[in-house]
Amino acid sequence: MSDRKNWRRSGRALALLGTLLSAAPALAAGGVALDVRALPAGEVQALERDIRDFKATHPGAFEALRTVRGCSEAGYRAARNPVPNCSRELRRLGPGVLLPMLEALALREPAGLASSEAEKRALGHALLQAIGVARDPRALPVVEAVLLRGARRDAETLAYAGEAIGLIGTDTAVALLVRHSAAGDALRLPAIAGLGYARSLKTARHLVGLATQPQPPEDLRAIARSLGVLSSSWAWRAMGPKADSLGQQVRAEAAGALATLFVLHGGDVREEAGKALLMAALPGTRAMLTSMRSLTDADGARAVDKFLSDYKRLLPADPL
Amino acid sequence: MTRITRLQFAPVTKGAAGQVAFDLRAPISLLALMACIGCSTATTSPISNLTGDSGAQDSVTGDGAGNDGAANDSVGPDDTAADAADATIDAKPEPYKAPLGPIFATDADRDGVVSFTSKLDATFRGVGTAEAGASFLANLDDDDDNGLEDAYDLKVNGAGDELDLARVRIAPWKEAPNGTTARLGLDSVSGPNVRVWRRLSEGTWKLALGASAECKDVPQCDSVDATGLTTADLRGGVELGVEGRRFRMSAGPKSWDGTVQLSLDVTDTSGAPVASAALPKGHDEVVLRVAPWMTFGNMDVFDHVDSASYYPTFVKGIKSALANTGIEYKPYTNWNDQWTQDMFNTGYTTIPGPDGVPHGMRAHHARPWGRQDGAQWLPIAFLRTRYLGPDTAIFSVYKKASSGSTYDSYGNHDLAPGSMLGDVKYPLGRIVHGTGTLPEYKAFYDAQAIQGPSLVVKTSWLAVGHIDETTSWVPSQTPRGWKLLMASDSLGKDLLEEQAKKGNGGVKFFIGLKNYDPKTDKLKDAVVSIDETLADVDLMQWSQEAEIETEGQRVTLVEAFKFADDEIVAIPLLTEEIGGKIAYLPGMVNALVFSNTIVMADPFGPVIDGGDLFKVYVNNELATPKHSIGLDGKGMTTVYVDDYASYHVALGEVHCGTNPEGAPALTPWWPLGR
Repeated sequence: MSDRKNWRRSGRALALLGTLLSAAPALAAGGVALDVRALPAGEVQALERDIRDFKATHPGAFEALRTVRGCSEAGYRAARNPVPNCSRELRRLGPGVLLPMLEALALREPAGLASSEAEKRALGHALLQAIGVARDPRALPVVEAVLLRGARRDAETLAYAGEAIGLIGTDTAVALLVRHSAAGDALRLPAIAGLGYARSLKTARHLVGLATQPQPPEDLRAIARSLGVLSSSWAWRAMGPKADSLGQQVRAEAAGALATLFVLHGGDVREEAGKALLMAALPGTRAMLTSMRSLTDADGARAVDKFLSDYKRLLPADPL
Repeated sequence: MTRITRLQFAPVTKGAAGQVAFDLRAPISLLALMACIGCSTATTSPISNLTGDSGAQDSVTGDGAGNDGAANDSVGPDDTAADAADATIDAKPEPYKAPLGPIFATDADRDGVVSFTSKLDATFRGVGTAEAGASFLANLDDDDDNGLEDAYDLKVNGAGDELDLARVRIAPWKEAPNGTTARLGLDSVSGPNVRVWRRLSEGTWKLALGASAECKDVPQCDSVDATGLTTADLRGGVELGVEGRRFRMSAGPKSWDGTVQLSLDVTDTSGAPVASAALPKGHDEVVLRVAPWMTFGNMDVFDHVDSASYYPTFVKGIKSALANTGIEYKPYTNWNDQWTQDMFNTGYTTIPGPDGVPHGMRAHHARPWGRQDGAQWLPIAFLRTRYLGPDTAIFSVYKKASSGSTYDSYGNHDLAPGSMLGDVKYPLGRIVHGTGTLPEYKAFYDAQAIQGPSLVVKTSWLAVGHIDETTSWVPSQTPRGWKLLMASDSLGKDLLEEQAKKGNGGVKFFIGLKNYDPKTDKLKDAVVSIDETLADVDLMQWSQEAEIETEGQRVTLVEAFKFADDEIVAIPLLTEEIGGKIAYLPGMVNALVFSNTIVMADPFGPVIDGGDLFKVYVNNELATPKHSIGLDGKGMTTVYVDDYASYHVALGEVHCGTNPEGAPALTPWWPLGR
């Protein structure tokens, strides 16, 4: 009898504990891309405080995050390509859900958004993409930690982290990417990828400088792609007319380096440099490539001719 | 190079509905040119010259060295038709008379009748060429409607099934000496892939050669490769019916090449060859090939469109588009896949029927994977319950169930319509598919040889990875007879920029899904203005990248089809990145096309002066004579369906959610000789 009473008492105590625990925020163990120990303690405390304060005034933002379905099986099973993908949903929610997204990425895996390893990985990628385009410097410590000490070390995750840092684009963010873009750095490729999104003349010049160094084709390809992404920011005039002058400088620097890569290298480097040249869409590209035919061999000359012929519709007219 | 100067279409009366429609699959000039493949100039022969017993084929058969008294009967799938065909043959000035003896005859002259009065039928012994050669069907329909493909059981399933057997005859040799017998043989390679039936005197069929067990859809099967014929058999003549258990799956050296070789050895009681006028060495052999599978494209005539029934707005839109077209629409229930285009590839297969008109069946093949685990959720199971039946075959190309990826969905496998322009002739169209498909698909398409070799266009840059996301094909009154629609992100941007310059930059439009609004702490529909869209550096970058990749696709297509610039019409789009590119605006180019109608996603673009910016633009491109688009060149009927919630947000559009099919094309494949 007394044993039974004790058992009941214990049960009630456990239930009470459970209620208390569910009412309080769970202790942070880590999000879908980061073990919480990878963040400096001060950053964790600051982030927890920001999240707590924001949750008090904006509970709807956290609810909004929970509506995302594309990374859970119930959501993606019916998608045309039935693999976990919630990038569009997360990005569409907008920068107002930055703190819920940082919480999910770094502090606590959100319930119901992703279960399997593949789903969590996809959620991590989507969070990095959405956090990146929010361009909020508050996200830098978390994204930096994902790049440097994240739980997932695969090339794709690191590239998304690098790109997010580039999109945040503060001096600190760019300095971090520049540092890791040095030859031999283990994070060189994601750093180079990220630099393409840090839209400045300084970044362009840094990438152009990298392009002139001897290095593996994989690295050259990444540099070419980043120069294309960078130039693209101005090519379609999304930066507005006030940025045209700066854009012209960036595109000119990038196109010169890309044309050199195109004529001097074959294979994937040439292909990527060609695409990047089209992204830069600099008037004069046709004349520049034609003038550089003499620098290359017969294959290179043929590649120049084919490129100019195939993509004539996308190459702007040369200035008179 | 042969070039069509003017494309005409043969009117065809559609049976049950009694409507007269234009069969785009039988353009007169295409047929004429097909008969003249290898000629140096185009011809304008009327269609009747090519489908009857005269014309191009007759010029080959009209040898006229014959005599009376030889085997002169004929047999065809339909006695009346056979009689009619024979009457035509008999009307020729000098009919061929085969020499006496137990020789084979096939429908090598492709008039749908096996006749010993046709020199080709009686003497042609090679694999098919442009001029001659017999073929047989992969008999994968279910004429007795018992749920099992006709080729998978050990019986001939009624009169309908008899029509699907390619006939081979051994001429009656009334003078056969007593004791003469024969060995009827089948090459061992084709044995498991075919069945050869023998018609008995009472009109029933008995298995003679080939696969001797049901084996269902298993390629390997025990087979019988020889059977004996008695003296009485030889004296009375023998009628055989050949059916395939499968299509030719690959042109690889280890694969069945799609042919079947029948042999006949006539011997006396000692086993020594018995000579006859027809067979001096007592031996004959003949080759038939399995008919190719061919897929449908946008220019084909459809009588049925399928889609899921789950989204009332979408279903209502498709139903409305199909109203009064004579095309049946019965959306399916009880199946867990709304991506109807992706689940199965519709097509057909044919052999020459009476009067040379193609006879065959619809034939649809299934994607390797389903949306839930378990064989019951594989698309082949869907086809089995919904499509398999009389004159509708189902089959699969994949080697392993549940293999493959998004690239093996059939939105990634399309058909460029028939074209005689360029160096290689594709009167029945050419298969165009994206990258990443299972190798057995390309092997299969290429092995059919009619609509292949398939053209591979890069689609790996797309998140879904399908060719239908960026291309579509529409009829036109131009030398080629059709034009290509291609998505254009620069056009999408230009249209918005133009409005921004006109002062309409503040006009907002819905971009799908929900935004979180911090001011209200609630979700709201995501809308943006034209100016905001143009200032979105991420969206512009993604769209520019998509433009470049699409241009790469265009380069591949132009190189293959030699398109002039005005043969490609741009359709506006903007694209976003989700780990691969996906339509940001609803993808209008991803459209259902039938006859003179194109059904597109409603773009929900900015409304200016009472009209949707993108709809107004597209209507001006496609629904007017501007580009000579449409069956009469005066434009197509454009229909917009709201697919936002049902398909666009789930990464697809109208084409992805629908799948049309029709009766086998009336254009014969055999004059291609490949």
